[in-house]
Order: sequence, then structure tokens, then C-alpha cells
Amino acid sequence: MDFVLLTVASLLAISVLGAVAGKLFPVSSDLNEQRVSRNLLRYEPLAEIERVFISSDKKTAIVHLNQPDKTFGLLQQLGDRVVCRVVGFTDVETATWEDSTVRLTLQDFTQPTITLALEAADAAQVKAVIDSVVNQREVPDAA
Amino acid sequence: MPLDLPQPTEFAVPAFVFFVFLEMIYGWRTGRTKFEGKDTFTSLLMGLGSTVSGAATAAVFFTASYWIWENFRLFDIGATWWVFVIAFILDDFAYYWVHRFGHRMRWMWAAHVIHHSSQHYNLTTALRQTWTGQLTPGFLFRWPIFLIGIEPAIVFFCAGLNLIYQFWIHTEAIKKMPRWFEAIFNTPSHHRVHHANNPKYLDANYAGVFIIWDKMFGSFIPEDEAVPCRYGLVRDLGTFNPLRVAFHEWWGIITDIASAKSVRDAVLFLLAPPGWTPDGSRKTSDMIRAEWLARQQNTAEDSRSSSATHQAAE
Repeated sequence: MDFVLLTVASLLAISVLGAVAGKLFPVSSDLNEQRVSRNLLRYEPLAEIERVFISSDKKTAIVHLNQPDKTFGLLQQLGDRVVCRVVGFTDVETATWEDSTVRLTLQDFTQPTITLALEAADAAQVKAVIDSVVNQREVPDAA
Repeated sequence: MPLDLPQPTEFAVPAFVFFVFLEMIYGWRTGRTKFEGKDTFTSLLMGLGSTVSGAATAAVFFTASYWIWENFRLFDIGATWWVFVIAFILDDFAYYWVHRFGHRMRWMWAAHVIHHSSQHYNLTTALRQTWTGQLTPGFLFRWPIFLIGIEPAIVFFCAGLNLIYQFWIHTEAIKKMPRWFEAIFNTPSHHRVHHANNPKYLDANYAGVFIIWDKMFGSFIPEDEAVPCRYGLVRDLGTFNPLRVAFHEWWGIITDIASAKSVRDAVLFLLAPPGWTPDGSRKTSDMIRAEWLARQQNTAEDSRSSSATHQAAE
């Protein structure tokens, strides 16, 4: 019984501290081109960025890369930090489009799916970027 | 009859909560420490899970430790005050090696990675602990201390004190301690380096209490003001989900071993450093640092050559 009470009390304390942290340190900044580029180059110093596409909610971004070859950058704002990936064809299971929204399912245990709602003007270009990587899977000597 | 000693971490928990709150208020007022709500929640939940998982398996490890001590110890050392001092030092030495292997062997990294998985560095990070340490061979590192003859209860007591010491070093609120202190003890500055994922700082400063072990065994890197620490993993987690946080590296090991093309590769997926692959498609810390060093050297050479050209032109 003591153990149960202690666990419940701990969960309560944890919830309170989490709530206080959220209140005192609100997340105020979204993704922008500069932030995306800075974080991606930190993650992959040899990346050559062609263009950054940011989702309409400014929480995710896809980056058209010239280097590394046959990849694209994928960034997600997690809390107040940014999580970066350089995605090759082996990393993507599916890319499903509905209008200007793409849902990527990834070989990534901590980020298995990611959905980007894009500006309509960007959707076609982003689709081309993703397809150019994903379609590597169908090329016989892609590996 | 085992010595009946208190468990220091049990008594420290209310103090931990108090100091976390204090650090939050300090950070809010000064901007010198940073928190994020979900990250805080996840870190503390990992700490709670670690406590529960530790409690569930404590009896097994306690019994095994005592079996080793009772049947194989070389000396009868007793429990005087100086035995506690020696035990503390030896336990800290053992901790250094457990921790070093925790970064250099993927099997042990699978448990330890949780502690490094926050992109923040504050007192909640100190409590962000593994749920799966019992699945690794880390417990073996204390057996030599039992074999020398120090009673396990004394070692576990000292280990508790060691963990409590390490709580306060998980902060950006303290820049540097006095030079003499920085020379001997683990400090917030030394431990920020340890938690940093900057290539310069990877796999350094494994100390618990005494930083001297890192200096003795070549793993010490001082904090460089020109290279501010950035925290988290080389490949940061994309989730706050505690279950995915707890088990992501184990899942990675399982899938890699399942797809291994040889027994050798399967074994190395477990025992080689994190990031090792047979084809070099992922990067270990050593590879990341080597690439970074090469870039630094190229930049320095370009700079020298540009300066020489400029001088020649003048």
C-alpha cells in the first residue's frame, strides 16, 4: 500500500513539475528557414541545402538536399528543440499524399510517422523531392 | 546478517523535487537554465520508472552480491569508518568503468542512452534514468570490491551517496567551481561536456565523483567557452513517449541482430560501440570526431593558405 501511495504521490509531483515547467518556459519559436538550415548543418555538416520547405503549422520541414546525394532533410520541432534526420530511401516505408499533406512512415522507432501539411504552392516540389529519394528503391542498383 | 544501512537516495527524493523547482524559478528569473514542459515530464517519469524497476529487481542483485562476498572474499575487512572511505573510492572507480563501458559498448549503451536522451540539461536530466540497467552486465563491475572483502551493503550505501552527489552537477546554473575543486571532483562544467553531443566532446568525462579517473585514463576534456555545449544524442529522439524512450536502442539492437549476415556481425552489434555497422553506414563517436577533426584541419589549412596568398599579394 505504501508503495502504491508513494507511486501515486510521485506521479502527482511529476505532473505538477511538468505543468510548472510548461507554464514558466512556454515554447514560443517556430521553425523558419534560418533555424532549419542551422540545425540541419549542425546535424549533417556536409549537407548542401537547395531549398527549405516548412509546413503550414511551422513545426516540421523538408529540405531539398544536393548533398548527401539521394537524400532529403526532415526536421521536426519537438518541444522547443529540433529533431533532425537525413532520410534515404531505406528510411522511408511509405509516403502518402492527400491534397497538400504528406504522411511519411519511417524506419524510425522514435519517430515512426510524421505528417506535414504544406502550403499548396510547395506541395508539388516537395512531392518531387520525396519521390526522387523514395523511388531509388525501384532502381536495381540503388543499394 | 547483512549490515542494515539506509538507502541515501530514498531520503534525497524530496530534496530533489525541491531543487528542481528552485532551478526552474531561477531559470525563469535569470534565463540561465532552461526547461520544457514535456521534456521535464518525460525525464521525471523515466526517473520514477527507474526506481520501480530497481526496486523490483533489488533482491536478486543484493542476494547475488552477498553470495559472491560470503563465498569468495579474499579478506575480512569489517565495517569501520575507513572501510566506508575505501569503499566510496573503489565504488567510484568501478562507476567510472561501468560508465565508460556504458558509452563504448552498445549493450550497455542501450540502458544508459536514456539518461542522455534529453536535449535539455537541468536537474530533471539527473533524474532521467534507465528502466533496463538490470539487463546489462554493469553489475559485474562491483564484484571485485566484494571479492576484496568489502560488504555489499557498504558498497551500495556508498553508491547511493555517489548518485546523490551527481544530482547537483546536472545544471547550467553553475559555471565553474574553484580551480582546486574542478581539478579533483566532477562538476557541472565537466559533466556538461559529458552530456554534450558536440563532436569535440563526445565520449568524455565519465566520472561519478572524482574527475581524476578521467585524467588518469585519458578521457578528460575540459569545457571550452568557445564551443558551447549542445545536449542530447548524436541522433536525437523524435518523441517524448516514455516507452519509446526506454526501449528504442534495445529495439535497434534486436533489429540489427535479426538482419545480421554473420554471427560475428550479430555479436558486434551488441558489443561494439554504438553506431558500429559492418558496412560503415552509420557512425560511431570516434568516426564523428575524426570527421570533425579533419574539417577543423582543412579549415585551418585553408585559412593559412589564404593568409599566405594575401601576404604574397601585398
